[in-house]
Order: sequence, then C-alpha cells, then structure tokens
Amino acid sequence: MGMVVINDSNFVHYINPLHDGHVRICAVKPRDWSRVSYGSMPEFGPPELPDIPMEEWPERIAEMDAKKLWADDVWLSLGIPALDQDGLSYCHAYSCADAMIIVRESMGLPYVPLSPESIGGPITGFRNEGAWIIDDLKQAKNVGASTTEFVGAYEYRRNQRKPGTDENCALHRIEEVWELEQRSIRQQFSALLSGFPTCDGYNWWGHAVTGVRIGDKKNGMAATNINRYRKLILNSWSQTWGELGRGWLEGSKMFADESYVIRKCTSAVDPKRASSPAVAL
Amino acid sequence: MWKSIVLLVALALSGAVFEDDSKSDKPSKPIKPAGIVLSVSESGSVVAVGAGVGGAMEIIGPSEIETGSMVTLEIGGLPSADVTKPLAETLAWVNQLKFVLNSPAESQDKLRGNLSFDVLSQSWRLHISWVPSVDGVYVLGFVNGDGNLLLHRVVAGKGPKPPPGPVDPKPPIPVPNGGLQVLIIEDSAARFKLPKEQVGIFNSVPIKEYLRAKCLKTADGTPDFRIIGHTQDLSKEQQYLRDAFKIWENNPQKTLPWIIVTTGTDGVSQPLPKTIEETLSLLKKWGG
Repeated sequence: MGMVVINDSNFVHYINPLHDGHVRICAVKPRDWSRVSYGSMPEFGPPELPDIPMEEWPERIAEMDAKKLWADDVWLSLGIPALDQDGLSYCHAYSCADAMIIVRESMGLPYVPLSPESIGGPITGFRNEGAWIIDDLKQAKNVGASTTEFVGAYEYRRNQRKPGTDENCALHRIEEVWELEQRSIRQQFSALLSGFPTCDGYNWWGHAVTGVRIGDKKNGMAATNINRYRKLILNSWSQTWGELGRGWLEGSKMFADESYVIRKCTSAVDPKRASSPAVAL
Repeated sequence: MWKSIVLLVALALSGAVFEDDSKSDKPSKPIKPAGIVLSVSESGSVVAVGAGVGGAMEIIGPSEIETGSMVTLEIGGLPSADVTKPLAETLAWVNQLKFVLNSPAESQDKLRGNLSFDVLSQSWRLHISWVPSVDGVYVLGFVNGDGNLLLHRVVAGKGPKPPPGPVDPKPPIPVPNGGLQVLIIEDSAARFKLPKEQVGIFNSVPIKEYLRAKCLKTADGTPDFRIIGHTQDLSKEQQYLRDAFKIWENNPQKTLPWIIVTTGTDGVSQPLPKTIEETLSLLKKWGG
C-alpha cells in the first residue's frame, strides 16, 4: 500500500475500512466539551499553550525536514513496525501508547514495547469498546502503561494481566501533558513544530491517531494560509497501512477535534534491569 | 610549590581561610577580603563563592585521593596580572568566581583557598583544597565569569594502597563510574519559545547517535543520557542522574535548557548550546 492521503473528497473510504482482510475499528468517543470544558483538568496544564507564528512555519518545516527533527523521525529511528489494533476498539489507547513510545525515545529512555491494552483495559471496564482519549491519558498519567510482557497484544481482559502489571506500569507514566484548545490547528502544528507527537481525536473519523509531522505543500499559498499545510499521522492499523503505517491528512480532515501533547514520560529504570555501573557524577 | 618568589595574599573567609601552601616563613600580607565567601550548607555540601572572570579556565588536579589526605586543585587560566594597577583593582575579577563542592551527604568538609602571585611569571595562582573526611565522590564545581560551570571529580577512599608490584601490561582499570554521561534539562512547556535551531537538539538523530556510541551503558545497553523536564520525578532513576540534576538545582543561574556532561573525572555544566552543531562540538570535547 502506498502513501495514503486522506482529504475532503475521499475520507469516507477510510472509516472502519477493510484492511488486510480485517475491519479496522474507529471507536474513539468524541469529547463532550460542554461537560468536560477546556481547562477543567488542571493536570493537563499549564495554561500557556504552544503558539509558533505561521509566518515561521515554512522555514521551520524545511529545517526539520532537512535535519530529520520530527516526532516522525524519532519514530522511524526506532525501527519498529507500526502498532496494529486489528479488530480491537482501542484506537484511543493505541494513540496514547504510540505517543509515549516516541516521547520516551526522544528522552533517551530505553525502548520498551508498551501495551495499549494495559491502558485501555481499565478505562473500558476491561471490555472491547471505544473510550474517550482523555481517560486513556489520565490512566497513563496516574497509573502508567505496562510492557507487553505483562499485558500482551489484544489481552484487554482483567484476568489476562500478569502479576506485577501495576508495578511495571509505574515505570512508564506520562509526567507532562497538554490539552490543546478545541480544533486549534495552530496549537496542534506548533506542538509538532516543537518536536512533540500529538494524540489526536477526529470526530469525522471516530478515530484516534498520533500526529507526527507537518508537510508544506508549497502550493503557492501564503505561509499564513492553513491550506498550504498537511499533517502526517501514525495510525494503528499495522505496518502495511499507508507508508509504514503512516498517512497524510489534508484540508478540513487534518483538524483534530481534540488534541493532547505528551511532553515527558517517567524517567525511570526497571530495577530488574541491571543499572549502569556509572551511577555517580 | 613555587620555585620563584611568591607574594602571598591571604584572604580571610567566613568558615575557611585562604592559606599559604608554599610553607614560606614569610608572613603573608593581608589585603581587604575581595568579597569571597565560603559557606557550608545544611546538607553538608560546601558552597564557596570566590574570585573570577571568564576565559579559558580549567581545574587541574588529582581524581583520586586517600580519605583524610588533602586534595589540592589548581585553577588554571587565570587572568594575567597588571602590576601597574592598584591591588584591589587588579583583583576585581576575584569577585566573579564561584565554587561549589558537592560532597557526600554526611560530610562537612570545608574548602580552603590559596591565592598567590608568582613574581617571575607575573601571574596569579589559585589553589582550592579540602580534606575529604569520608569515603565517597566529591565534585568541585567552578563557575567562571561567563556563568559556565567546570567540574572536577575526586574519589576519596580509605585503606592502604597496594604495595608496588610489577607493571600490569593491561590498561589501567577506569575509575569507578568513569565514562561519558549526559543530562539535558528543559522546560518542555516552553520549548516552543526557543530558537528553532535550539529546538532541533531535542530530537536530533546525530546527537542521539553520538550519545549512543559514546555514553556509558547500563547492562541492557541503554546509554547514560537523558533529556528530562525540570520538574520530573527522578526517584526511580539512576544515581548519576539524580546527582547531575542536583548540580543544576544548586546552580545559582538555574536557567533552562541546561546541559551537564561528565566523563567521570571532569565535566561541564552550562546552558544548552544554541544549535545542534554546537551541542555536538561540546559533547565531542568531553566524549572524544
């Protein structure tokens, strides 16, 4: 499958599609902003949000492309296949786990295969169903995500969690996270231009994915025209979807209705792994 | 010890005295204290604020010492002396230097300083010394006039030294914990405000590749470098990270983003360079 480009004319083909013989589930519950208003979750602060002037975007994009500085480049440097939720309704948790994996790599932490099911299981009552992204983020912030050693792929049921899961989760928590304002593409792109991935929820798609890069279409439009740009997302529909699991969103389809930025994860070492002999400065 | 005639300048300090280490019988010539202050923090770390300027200064001295023996480090690269000016004016740079001794928590060791003037070379010599009272790792930090912090690490240990034996053909065993370790501290919420050239440092593949190749590694192969937030919980991290973070916390500048590089015996703690290239250059200076 070549690079996917989803736009206002073809988006319907990507909702709950059949891919590799399996129906891919889009099952994120849209955030109800009237009930969970912006800023009502203090742990998702601080109030000052990323805002890089659009006039600077083309130059910054060119530099980040040339020097491979995107969250996408961090992901590719890991050399691991894109995650695959298969028929599981856990795109909300996969988006969160993808972003955590990227942020951990950026921080210099060792790669560990984080389990989306360890995040999504508890917040769905250990059922195979959709959820709100913010619940996944809260779970990952307060409890953490285990490795697949403790909660394997598609093992979302309570009795499938191995002993020691909670202790392992505590090693992989979100420590710093932003919630961005509703449909603020400017903030979403400013976060990407800062090298962070974004956990994005799209109401038109009913789906959650991870934003990893901005593209400059260089179509002659002004730097301040949003239609000059597009967003690359990392999906959780396996390595064979799009190009290495990634695809472009364009036009109104790139406006995430809700977006969150994981900036830092827990800096911790697994006590079972021998620590460095170099422990003193 | 100076072979030339040395004019001693003894500076009275709070909690410590700059002493003559030349053992000269000549009485030292006191001058007005040049704003140098040494104080002992409650945690046992000694914080000294002393002489200073910018420039290519360095800390020279041993990296290992027997507990109870005096450690003497020389601050190299001091400014040349202008003998035509009044002494107070000549020594104005003294007020800009700062020293920080990070010592084992239970230690109450005090720094002593010795500022002397070498008549023949017409230059100042500054020595900092202390006597480690307990085993452990001592790190002397020296902030020059530019605000950059140079580090020198001394491992103090007890016990008799082994008798001289045949020369071991193998390379010497590195000092415990020796090797490149790097910590970058940032305010991730303010990253978008940084110059774009500096933002690139955080995801730079060449920097990561260099660090992976050069840094010490844990048993599972993870290189000893991290990019962390300034409010992060490090309670489950390795000791080197907690120690390095403490250096930033104790730094009066405490600006962000910040980088700390250590080789186990030396190192630097300073604001993060502005570009990927400058950061790589700094890392290669210490990591080879």
